[in-house]
Amino acid sequence: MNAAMILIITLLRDAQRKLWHVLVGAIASSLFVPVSLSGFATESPDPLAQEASFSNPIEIQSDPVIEALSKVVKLVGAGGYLGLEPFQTGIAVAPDGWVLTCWSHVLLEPAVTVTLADGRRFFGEVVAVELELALALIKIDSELPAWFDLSDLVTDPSPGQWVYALHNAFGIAVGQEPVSIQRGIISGRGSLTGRRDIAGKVVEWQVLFLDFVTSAPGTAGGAVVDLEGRLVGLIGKPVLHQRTRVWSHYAIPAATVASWVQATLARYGSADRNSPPFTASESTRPASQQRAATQLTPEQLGIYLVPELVPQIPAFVDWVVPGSWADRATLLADDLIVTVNGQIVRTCREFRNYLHTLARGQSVKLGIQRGDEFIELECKLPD
Amino acid sequence: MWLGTVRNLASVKVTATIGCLILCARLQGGLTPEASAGAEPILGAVPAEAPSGEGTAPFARHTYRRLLRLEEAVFRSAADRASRSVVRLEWVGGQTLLGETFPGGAVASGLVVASQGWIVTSTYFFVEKPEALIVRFTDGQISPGRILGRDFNRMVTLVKVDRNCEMLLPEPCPPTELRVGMWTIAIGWTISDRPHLGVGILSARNRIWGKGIQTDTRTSPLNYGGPLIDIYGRVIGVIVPFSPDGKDPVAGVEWHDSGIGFAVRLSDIQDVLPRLAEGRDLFPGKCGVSFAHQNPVLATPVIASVDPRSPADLAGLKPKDRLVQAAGRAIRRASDFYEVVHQHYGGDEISVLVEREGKIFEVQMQLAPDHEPLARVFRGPKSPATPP
Repeated sequence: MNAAMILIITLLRDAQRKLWHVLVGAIASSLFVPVSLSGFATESPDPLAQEASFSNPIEIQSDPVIEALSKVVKLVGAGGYLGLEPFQTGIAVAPDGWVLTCWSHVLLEPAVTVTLADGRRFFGEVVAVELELALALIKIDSELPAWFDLSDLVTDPSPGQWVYALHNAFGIAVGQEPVSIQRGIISGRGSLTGRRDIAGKVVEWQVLFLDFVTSAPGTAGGAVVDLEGRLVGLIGKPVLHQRTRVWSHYAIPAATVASWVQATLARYGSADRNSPPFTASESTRPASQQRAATQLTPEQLGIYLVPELVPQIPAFVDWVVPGSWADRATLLADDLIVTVNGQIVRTCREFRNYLHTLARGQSVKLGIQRGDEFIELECKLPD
Repeated sequence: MWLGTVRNLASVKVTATIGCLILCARLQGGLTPEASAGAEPILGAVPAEAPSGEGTAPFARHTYRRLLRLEEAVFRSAADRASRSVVRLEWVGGQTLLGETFPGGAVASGLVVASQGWIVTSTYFFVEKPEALIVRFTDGQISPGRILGRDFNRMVTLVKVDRNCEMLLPEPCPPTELRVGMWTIAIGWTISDRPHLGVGILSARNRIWGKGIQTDTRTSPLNYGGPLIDIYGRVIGVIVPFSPDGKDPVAGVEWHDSGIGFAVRLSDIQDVLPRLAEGRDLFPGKCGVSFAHQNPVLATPVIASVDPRSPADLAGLKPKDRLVQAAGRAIRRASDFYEVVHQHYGGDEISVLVEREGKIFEVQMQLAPDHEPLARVFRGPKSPATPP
């Protein structure tokens, strides 16, 4: 044993001591931490050896979010003209070939091409559609290798929570490639309203808003998952938010989606395949908003609003019928009706619509802008 | 002995990793001192032995996940702390009357900035004054609001409500603590029942001629007017759209949701509040000189031409004059001078040191308000002759 060897052994003995601990620890961690912070890197002895098997990227790592990629499918169907893209995303929801996606123009084709994460392709058939949430279930004639377990959902997603969105934005993933992953947080909970069907019925549905951009061609039907790869929500179709006129980045909560899927699978998953393909859930619209003969109008209250030359005219009072309810409530001509029961009414139409929802005889609070003054009037509606 | 040493090294590595993760979180500004003290048991709960797994050791992933959970907790507590200062503005009339072209509706976020009921929001929404304005607070109270003054340079608008806002004042983030790369959280209140949040990092401390800071947090009409906060819930600035060269009051909105977002520093807003409170609209300052080189960063500050009857002309500046100093700041490039001008408003007086034929002298220059007719932006068709 020569002198150098002895020196090394002495040094290694010293390694027991604290100073050496700190030094080695610092070196080790300086090598290690950047890797661990970069995402899904693992503490493998030879990461390069694993990256070599690039041909099947899904199998590289065993992270639950990466695993969730294998549950997302790519859909190609109708479109490709008038700015309508022919692709979309879907998620596997049951092992025997059931794929959930958004009901959209892409599915307006007898057979939709479904490409699984492993690259296999099938023709899928649209079996059931939910019109209010715009969901569709597609069936392919194959077992699915992986699927989202709808009994193990994130039922209480909360703002500030990290989530991953898995979708095929812009149809960028082709063939065997898995779809794209984005990371961001849940921004808040809220609702979207819109007309979903031909009848023009206004529907409101609860959504999770996301702080990153998911509103793009092809993302609809993609999955939003938590850190454990559990389903948080389904990315909906691009929707222009009416109140803010900004495209909404949102997901339909998993619990909402799952209840429809499970109910539908219970019906269609059985032998009964001859049922009509289109289903719509019961209207969620409150009964009070149904038009009825007893509805109040501004004119019945003695309020004549300015003419609605364009739809955006604010609710200015043009004339108050002397001796009417409005006169007794001390409304004046040129008053601007701003709020009703604390709810802002921007236009004549919004004021009329809000009045429709009020019952006769109930108390109402009006917020009035008169000149530079803001006045609140509280009075009982006529019987 | 060899084996023992190797095992020791491994345990050192594990301990150091946990320590470093906490350190990283602190460096990123991810944890308050109290939070990190509370955090140690959480990270400490990581099994020293890697959980039996699928071949690869899941230790790093496990720890990483704990770190993400901590981040979530930090985002929430910061947002909760700042949210009480956030208001929601809704209005009747104004820009939405006929304009359908621009993103943004009749709802915006705002931030309480003074106890006498002063609220700051983005001028983006108030290019035309609305007929009536309603301010909704997070405690459920609703108050009518009145626009006092609008700033078309830093794009903030001051709204007054009759309410004592002493308890709602936000805590400011000292500008000296701003670090590029630190977490930033954008709070808005337009689409949900409670203020909503988005996260990102500080991209740059000085942008758009020093008027604002840049963030990669997604900004859009959903949170314009709301605060950009740090992870302690302290307000860095107010989110506004900015454009490097656009002069339209709505310039910059085309970058919404792009990852290039801006905020005006709270300290800059505080400086301008007294003037806005007087009910004045403030416009960018205009000087009326141009330099030889198109690119202001390359141009030497030697005047090439002076617009007739412009502030520079009135102050007696002539072509071939070399600018030495403006508002106490040394001018080395034309861009330095632009920066000074952009940080002042029309009507502001600045002193300029000028070198002419070897002699240096001082002139006082009153900047002119630089604004285009505003109504045209929303009313009526755009004339084809409109310059870009």
